[in-house]
Amino acid sequence: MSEQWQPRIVAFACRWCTYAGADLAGTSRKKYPPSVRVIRVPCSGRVNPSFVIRAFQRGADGVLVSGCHPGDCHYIEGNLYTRRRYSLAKRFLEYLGIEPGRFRVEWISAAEGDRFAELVTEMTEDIRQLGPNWKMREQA
Amino acid sequence: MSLKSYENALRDEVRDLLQEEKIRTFVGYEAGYRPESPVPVIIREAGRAEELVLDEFCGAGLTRYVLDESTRAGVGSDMPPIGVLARGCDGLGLARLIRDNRVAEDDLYVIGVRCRGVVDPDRARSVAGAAVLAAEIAEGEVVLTTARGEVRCAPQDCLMDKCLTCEDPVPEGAQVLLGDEGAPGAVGRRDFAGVAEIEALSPDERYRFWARQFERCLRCFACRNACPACSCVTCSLEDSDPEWLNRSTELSEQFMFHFTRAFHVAGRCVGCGECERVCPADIPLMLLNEKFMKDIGELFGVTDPHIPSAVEPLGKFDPEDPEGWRGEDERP
Repeated sequence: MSEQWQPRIVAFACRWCTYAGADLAGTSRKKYPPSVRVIRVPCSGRVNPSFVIRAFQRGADGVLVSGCHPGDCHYIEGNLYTRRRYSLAKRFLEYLGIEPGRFRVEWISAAEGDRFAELVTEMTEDIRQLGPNWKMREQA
Repeated sequence: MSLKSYENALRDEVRDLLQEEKIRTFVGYEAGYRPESPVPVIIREAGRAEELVLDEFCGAGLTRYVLDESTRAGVGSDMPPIGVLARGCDGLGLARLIRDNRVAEDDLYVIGVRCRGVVDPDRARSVAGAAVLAAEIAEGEVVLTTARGEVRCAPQDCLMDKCLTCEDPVPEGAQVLLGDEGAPGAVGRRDFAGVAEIEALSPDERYRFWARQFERCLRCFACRNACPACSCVTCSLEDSDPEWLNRSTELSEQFMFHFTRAFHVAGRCVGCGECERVCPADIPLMLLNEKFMKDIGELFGVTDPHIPSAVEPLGKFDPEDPEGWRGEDERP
C-alpha cells in the first residue's frame, strides 16, 4: 500500500440536530479529521441497525449514530426509541465481536459544533489505535 | 402417567371435533420413520384421527403450520377454527401470532398439553445406548424404554434444553387440556450462562466464535420459517430492491443475515427454541436470542420478555431509560 491507511467513519446524523451541529462545526471553522462521512437521516430513529452492519460490510472502520438529546427530538419521541434500540444494538454488535470503540451512539445538538468536532477527533484516534476493521467486511 | 396414555383421548376428541365440524383441520403429530421421531401432520378428515400420535417425543413446533392454515383460509372466513395441539411453548408461539395479528384468536381451537418436557431423541439415544422405543417423564427422572429394557436418567441428560428452564409448561387459553396435573416443573432457571460465557471472551475471540458458527450456515431460512415471531408476509431478507442480503454465503452476508434475523425477534422471541432445533447446521441461534432477552432484562427491567404482551420492549420507551451503550460509571 503506497498510501497510509486513514480511518473511515460513517456517521448517521439526524437532520435536525447532529447534521446541523456538524454544519456549525464547519461554519465555525472547527478542525476535525477528514475521516468522517456524514449520512443525513430524518431522525436517529430512522437508522435501522442493519445500516450499521452494511457500513461495516462496505468498508467502514467505525460507525456513529447520532441524534438530538432525549427530550429534544423534532418528532417528540423518535430518539427515545433509538435509545432503546441502540442500547441493545451496541451490546449485540460487541457480542458479535465488534470492538467497543468502533461503534458509538451520541447525542449532539445543533448548537454543539464543538462537540461534533471533538467526537470525530476522539473516534478517529480510537480507531487509529484499533487499526483497519476486517470484521464483517465484504470480500472485494 | 405417560403422555402416551392420553393418546386415545386426543384421537377421540379430534375425531368428534372434525365430525361435528367444530374445527376444520387439526395440526398435531403422526408417527415418523422412527419411534422417537414423530412428525407434524395436518389432518382434515375425522377418519384420520387414528393416525395421531402423542408422546414425550412430540416436540416439533406447530405454530407455523397453524399460520399457514390460517393464511390459506384468508381474512374473515366463516369456516370453523383450526384445531391445534399445543404445549406451553406452542401456546406462547400462538400468542405471538395473535399479538402480531397474523392469526385471529377465534380461529384457533387449542388442545393443550400439561407439558413435562420433550425428550430429545438424539440425547435419549446416546444415554440409552440403543434405539429408544418409548419415554416417560416422572418426578426427577426420565424412563427410556429400549428393546433391551428400561434405562433411567436425569432430565438434564435427555430433555431438550428449553424444557429444563421452562416456566410456562401449560398453554394459556386452551379449550381442552390433556396430561397429568402437577408437572414436575423446571429443573433449572434461565440464567443465560451460555451468553455470559461468550461475553467473557475478547472481541476477537467473540468474532471468531460467531464466524465459525455462521460459516456453516446453509442459508436455508429454516430458522426464520419455523419461528412464530418471524412471520412477515414480505421479508426484507428476500427483497431485491433494496437488496439487504445477496445470495452469496460469504461470511459478511452471513453476519448480515444472522444479525437481522436476531434483531427482528429481539423482544419478541418466545424462547421456543425452534430456530435452533430446525437448524441443519447446528448453529446455536438461541445464544443470539438470549443475548437480547438478557439485555432487555438488565436495561429495561423486563423479566419475562418471552411472554407476548400488547406492546413489546422495543415498541415503547421509558423517558428514564438508561443509555445501554455506556457503562454504569460513564453516565453523562
